Amino acid sequence: MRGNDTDRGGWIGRLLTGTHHGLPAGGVALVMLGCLTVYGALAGCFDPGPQIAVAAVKMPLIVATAVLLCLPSFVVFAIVAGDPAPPTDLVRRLVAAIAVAALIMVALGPVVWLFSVTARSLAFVVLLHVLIATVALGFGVRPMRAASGSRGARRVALLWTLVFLVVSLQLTAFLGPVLGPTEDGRLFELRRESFLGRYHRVVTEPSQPR
Amino acid sequence: MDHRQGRFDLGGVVRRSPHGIARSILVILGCGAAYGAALGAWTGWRLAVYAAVKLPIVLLATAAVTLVFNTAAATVLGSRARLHDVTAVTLGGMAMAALLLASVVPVILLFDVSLPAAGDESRTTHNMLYLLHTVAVGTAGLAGVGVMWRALRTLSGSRRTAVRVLLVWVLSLAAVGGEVAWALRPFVGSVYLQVVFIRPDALDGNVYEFIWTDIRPHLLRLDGGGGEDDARE
Repeated sequence: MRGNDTDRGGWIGRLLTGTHHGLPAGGVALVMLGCLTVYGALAGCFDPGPQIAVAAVKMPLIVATAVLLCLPSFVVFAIVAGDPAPPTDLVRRLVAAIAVAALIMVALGPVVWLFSVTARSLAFVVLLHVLIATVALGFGVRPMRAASGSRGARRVALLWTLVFLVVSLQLTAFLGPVLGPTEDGRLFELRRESFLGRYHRVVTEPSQPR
Repeated sequence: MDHRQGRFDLGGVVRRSPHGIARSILVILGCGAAYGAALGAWTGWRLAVYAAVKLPIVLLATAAVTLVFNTAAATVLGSRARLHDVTAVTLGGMAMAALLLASVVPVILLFDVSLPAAGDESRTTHNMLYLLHTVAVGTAGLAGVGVMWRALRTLSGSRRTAVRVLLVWVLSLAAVGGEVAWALRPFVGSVYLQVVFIRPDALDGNVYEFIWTDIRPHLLRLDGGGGEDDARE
């Protein structure tokens, strides 16, 4: 296995090129969580101090929870759409897709850090992160959709991607805030609010100088 | 898919044996109950339990009520489908829809616990949840129709016959299913009314009368009032 890893830049290269067959799912999941931790820390630089650590914890937690919540629908959707892969391969494919998205997010880390330390508007950085996450997810699901086989299965994979994105956004609203402290100082606010309402509030509130 | 297709004899998706029909019923009972619980969970555990009982009843009652008509219609339209074929295909489609709905239960539960709690001030949340469930049920229903279509292609001599039979079946299932679900409401619950297993006026009027007398005027702006629509769910 180690000999093959060197072919296209090791694990990372194999993940990015969609040739991740044979990589252990646990290792890929660790890569995913590691990348998201780094990305969270960089995003937390918007509010320097303890929030860097909080964001580094919350970011992988949010994505891992979204993956777990959407895993049953991913497997069932794929089987119903006629994907011939057994469920264990489907789980590997999903973890690899999110790992690729996490790698893309880390690749944009310097950009995220630059905007995090310079931006004054919370609305701006929130929109930036949503944009980066959407683009990264788009890159991540490309090899997953290609491996799905039929056109119907690829469409179903696209539908599931939308579900995953919506679930992730709702989790950021529920387990957030990620970029700043909670009002009562707890780690999780667990405020019952739709992500649409929360994001609308963030975008329409006047910018607060830091 | 090949290793799975071998066990099915109707379009590679439905088994017409008694064992196959029994399996479809079990899937409908289990998966329908799971999604039913998610439907009612936003309002509270009591409606979650009620809806978990009622949703499989809606699916099975709809299949039972339409079975004879759908068999007769298929025969008249030139299909070779017999009663046990129609039973297998209808329940197979419903089992597929129930399975897909069950697969999104964790997602629905996330929204149940993270959206504002049910109460007088949460009408917008109620409507958002309603829309979410409508999209989920509609998408799952389309997948169920897909299963019926593949099975009907096997049973019908021509594509034209299969299309006609499918159209009649979908119309009858939608018409009856809509009314059965209406009679057994609430599922998501109302922000105005108490949680009950079945409303006292369950058999007083039907969903189509409600659409005609309440929703149509509202859509055509003949009636300036609002708010009653939610109360009726």
